[in-house]
Amino acid sequence: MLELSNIALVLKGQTLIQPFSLSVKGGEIVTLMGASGSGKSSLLSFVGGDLAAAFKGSGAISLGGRLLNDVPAENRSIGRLFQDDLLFPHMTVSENLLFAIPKAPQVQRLQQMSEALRHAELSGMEDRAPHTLSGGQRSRVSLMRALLAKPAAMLLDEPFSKLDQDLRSHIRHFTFDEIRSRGIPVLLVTHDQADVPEGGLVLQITATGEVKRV
Amino acid sequence: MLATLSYGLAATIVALAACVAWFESQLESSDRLMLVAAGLVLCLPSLLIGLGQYRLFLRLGITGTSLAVFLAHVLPVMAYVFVMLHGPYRSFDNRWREVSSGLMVSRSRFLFSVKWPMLKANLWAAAAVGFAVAVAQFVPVQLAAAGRHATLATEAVTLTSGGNRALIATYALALTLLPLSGFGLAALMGKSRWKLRDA
Repeated sequence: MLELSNIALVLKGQTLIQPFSLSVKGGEIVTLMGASGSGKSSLLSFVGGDLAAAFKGSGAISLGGRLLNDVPAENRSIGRLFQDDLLFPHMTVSENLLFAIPKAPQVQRLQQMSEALRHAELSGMEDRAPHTLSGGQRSRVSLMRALLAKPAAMLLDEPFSKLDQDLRSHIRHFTFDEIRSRGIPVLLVTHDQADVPEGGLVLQITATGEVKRV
Repeated sequence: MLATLSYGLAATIVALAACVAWFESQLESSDRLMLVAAGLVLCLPSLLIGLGQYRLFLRLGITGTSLAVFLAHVLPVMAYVFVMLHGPYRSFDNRWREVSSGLMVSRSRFLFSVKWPMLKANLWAAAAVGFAVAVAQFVPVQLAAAGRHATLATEAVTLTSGGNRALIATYALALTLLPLSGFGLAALMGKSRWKLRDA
């Protein structure tokens, strides 16, 4: 369970997001909507622990009962996906995946890597450079990489907005299914109503920075 | 030659390390002062800077030491390296850090395996320019060396008052070849691992 209590965000003395509280259960996907510049992405950065210095966040963030406010970003176990796949351009597909796999005997790590590729229907792509893959393939690798790190929660920042329309619903289903099957809490930021998972809770950030349930 | 090579390399390495340390530890808002300082170093005539430096070194009692010669090299190199790295460093997308945090990657592993490899072309280019600047330093170095240390540049200028054209030409060639090999190395090392036809 990801719990946010009295979370607020300030940019140079100006309130971006007024205090709100939210808890996301394992396997649940909560959607945050709002105009660009409303602070959605910065809110995710705050939860993830990489908020830019110009912003000030307040309120308590806890995951599985552990208070995360003073925990460095890399120890929070929170995976991210962005609008761009952000595959490391200087690594092959398999190197990108292996980079995320925690320490273990190399045989096991290689096994996990090829299992993930097979699962994403990308077997045989191991040695390809990321820029030689199609957009849909890259998003799948990106998702697999995020999941291989075994995150305890995920933050998705408009992860489907750059994909073609017909590819979009496919990748969306694939992503939601994969994440749900891991039973981890997810915060999703999007502009697109179609991205909202069926029956999921939706929060809207208003122009004044209030966070309202829709 | 050896003196130029060692002062040049030392100045380049120190300047590169100092600039990278600055960018990694300081907020972007504090860059302005450094940019102004670097701009002054680049714009002011080197005679002015050299004289100022000379008087400072006299006060410190280090004139004529190799430390003074090194410092005379490092100042302009630092200015060029800072200006060259400022753009690529500050426009580096913070989401690379965020996505790495999401993969539970520590800061040092992020720097060594993600950020610096991605910036390697810029880092090598800055180093090559810095080295070329170091090789060409004359006035500040001549003053700081107080006649006790010679580099390729100072020797070459001294030789021009003589008539040995062959020797002068050799120095001129060496003065060209050193920076050229620096740029060659940078082009080689900064290359992407992917061949262009894959793009």
